[in-house]
Amino acid sequence: MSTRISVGITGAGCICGAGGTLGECMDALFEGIRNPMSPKRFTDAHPITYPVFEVREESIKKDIRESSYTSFSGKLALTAAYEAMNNAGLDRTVLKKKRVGVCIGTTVGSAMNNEVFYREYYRRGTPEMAPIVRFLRNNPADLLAREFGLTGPCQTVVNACSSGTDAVGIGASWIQSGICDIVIAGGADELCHVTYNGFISLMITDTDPCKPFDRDRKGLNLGEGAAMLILESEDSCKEREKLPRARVLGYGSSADAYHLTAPHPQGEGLKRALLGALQCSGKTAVDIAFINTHGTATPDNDHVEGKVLYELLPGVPFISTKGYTGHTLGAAGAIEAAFTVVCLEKGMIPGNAGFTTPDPELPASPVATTTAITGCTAISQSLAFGGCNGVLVLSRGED
Amino acid sequence: MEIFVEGIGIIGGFGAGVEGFSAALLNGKSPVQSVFVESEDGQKQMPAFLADTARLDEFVPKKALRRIDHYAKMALLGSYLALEDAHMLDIDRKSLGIVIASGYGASNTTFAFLDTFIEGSDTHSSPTHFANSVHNAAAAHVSIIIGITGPCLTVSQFDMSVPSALITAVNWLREERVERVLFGAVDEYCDVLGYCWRRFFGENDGALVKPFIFDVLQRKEQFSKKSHGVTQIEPFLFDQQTSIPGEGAAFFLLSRKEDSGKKYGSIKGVDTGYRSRLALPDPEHTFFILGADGSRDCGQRYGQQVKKEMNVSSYTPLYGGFPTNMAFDMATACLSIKEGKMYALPTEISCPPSLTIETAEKKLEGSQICCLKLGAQGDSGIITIGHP
Repeated sequence: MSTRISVGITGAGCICGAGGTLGECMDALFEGIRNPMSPKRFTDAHPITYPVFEVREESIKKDIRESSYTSFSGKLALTAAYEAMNNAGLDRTVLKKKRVGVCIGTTVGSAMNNEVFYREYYRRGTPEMAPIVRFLRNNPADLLAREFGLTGPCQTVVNACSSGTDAVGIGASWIQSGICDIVIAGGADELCHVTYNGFISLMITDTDPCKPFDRDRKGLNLGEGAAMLILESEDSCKEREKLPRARVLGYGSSADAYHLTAPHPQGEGLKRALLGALQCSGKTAVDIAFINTHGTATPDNDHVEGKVLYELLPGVPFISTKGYTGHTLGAAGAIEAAFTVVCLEKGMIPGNAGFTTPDPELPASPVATTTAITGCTAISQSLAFGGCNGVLVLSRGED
Repeated sequence: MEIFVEGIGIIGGFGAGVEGFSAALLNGKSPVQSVFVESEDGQKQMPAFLADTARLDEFVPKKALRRIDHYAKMALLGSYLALEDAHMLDIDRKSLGIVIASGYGASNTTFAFLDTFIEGSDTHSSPTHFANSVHNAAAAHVSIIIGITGPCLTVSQFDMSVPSALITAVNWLREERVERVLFGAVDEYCDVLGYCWRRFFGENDGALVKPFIFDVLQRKEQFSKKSHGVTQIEPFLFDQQTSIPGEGAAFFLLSRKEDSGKKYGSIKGVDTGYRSRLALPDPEHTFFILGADGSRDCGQRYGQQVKKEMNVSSYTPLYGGFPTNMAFDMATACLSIKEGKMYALPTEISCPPSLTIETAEKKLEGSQICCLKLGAQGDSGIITIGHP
């Protein structure tokens, strides 16, 4: 990779189980508050309840919340995008003069698996079409482009659980290469009965609140949410006299080429993505203040991630924030990138919720309590079904 | 930096491989199969272009394909055929990226997964079906079976999936993130999509449900009682609904340098977005391949954008209507560049006098080819292929 990246992040927004805005989420993280609960928006027939991290619907603005044309993933995407736009000081007048693209990661937000529609089709074969119309109108990138009147490229990334990270990396690459002045990049995903069943069937879901990197971890909790970052070119920032909050300095991506649902046992793909992102950023291990890991709390993921981090970034503090948000799938990478930005600004990271007992099989443990960090560069990384690995190198804005 | 097309792997109703596709382009015909779709009056027969992945046996042992569905098999066969066409089956897998575009993903497996817990209960959900239902399952199987360890991306942007994904594929090459990219598009037909097709596009011209008109959410629509009389896509009858569903995969080996000697040309431009005015290439030096596939909702936009001074053609009657069929237009453009000619229009297509339609084979004489796709919601995609 010969091209270096340095792309400003001038705004950020987030909604998830931890809070309705990025500020609310960070308060919850630093206060150690988490709210796993039984699913409220759907019922299920499992003999045991698997906790999830649901968004409080009241956190969504009334006009968005009550729109019957918008999917829940779409509502989450719009909520986070409006917060990010306001945070960046952008409005439609400014956007109209710029080449603005949209790059959004999702899984459920792009899946034609509406259960109400399909159960009716299965039963008698002729369901009404409203759920399919809603699906066709709610491709997340298209939805945001139409909402804000944007004319640049739209891309919905469906790389499973690394989609949000990949969307931010690809958006930054569009800015760096001059395709866009501004990109709304992020991820959005809703909880649904279909994915709930899917993850339970894979036997990687915990019946208790998840415990990333803990010796007794048993699996993930699902979550939902969205986060959006406003990525902006140097010229656009100068023109608007806007100082970036943070920067995307590097993006690495790789395939494990190993297994559909399990990570490579030695983390070879993750290593390639990490090294690629570091090379792209011009940074080395000594520059990294902390790592916001994928940290799903599944035995395999945390084992592989822990080993790789110890090998490539020994001694660098790391956390998983999924103990506060659950695994938000296609949104996870974007939510974690937004959290990383705020942690860099604050100069501290929250404790890894759910971690109490070090795993003797892991060479290192996450940070258990709120901890001050040294340095201004951090890594946010995701691993996904299909063996996709995505890694972002992010820095504080002034550096 | 120029980005070259070194190899093409293509599967559709016409068969598998460049040879089969070229034959369809030369003959102006492609076989149409039949599918049955649900309706209030019972099952109805409908034409469809369906793909066969039997040739995958040439590349992969059957045993390795046991748990791989039709969607991923099409992508896998497209990938192998593209590598074979470029004489690069032994390519360095570490510096190869994968970018796949899909409108609907693994539709059959998505619904098969739902079947497992509808037929049984939640506790009977199939982990195999779930894992294979994710959109990036095709890219995952391609990377695992071929052993590709470079960056990997799947994009789902409905009709604009192909130009959107191609933007990132080209960017990865320009950033020197990879030496080559295996870029492809794949979509499959399934019974549920057939049902939606019939409800949205009706029978003959009698569709009552418009997928992009919101009042459907307020009213209860009824089936048209007319019979399905469409036997041929009429790409230039923009105000008529003549689409026939299709499926398939079209893959391309893209590179910063042209090593294969195939001379499929290079990518001169790729763009997509919501724009009322399109920045189209100079019509004097450009042939246009329209992605019009008999969908009336999109057809109206072609009617607005296509001007008399544009020399246009369309080959969708050879592969059908599906979200990623723009990749087949791109393959047609690449083959045209290689052969130095525009292929004749498929047979028996209606040609309104208001358009300048190239009906007969015509020499390119240095002209480039612009594939133009217009979506029903105001979205557009442009891919221009030309001589290096």
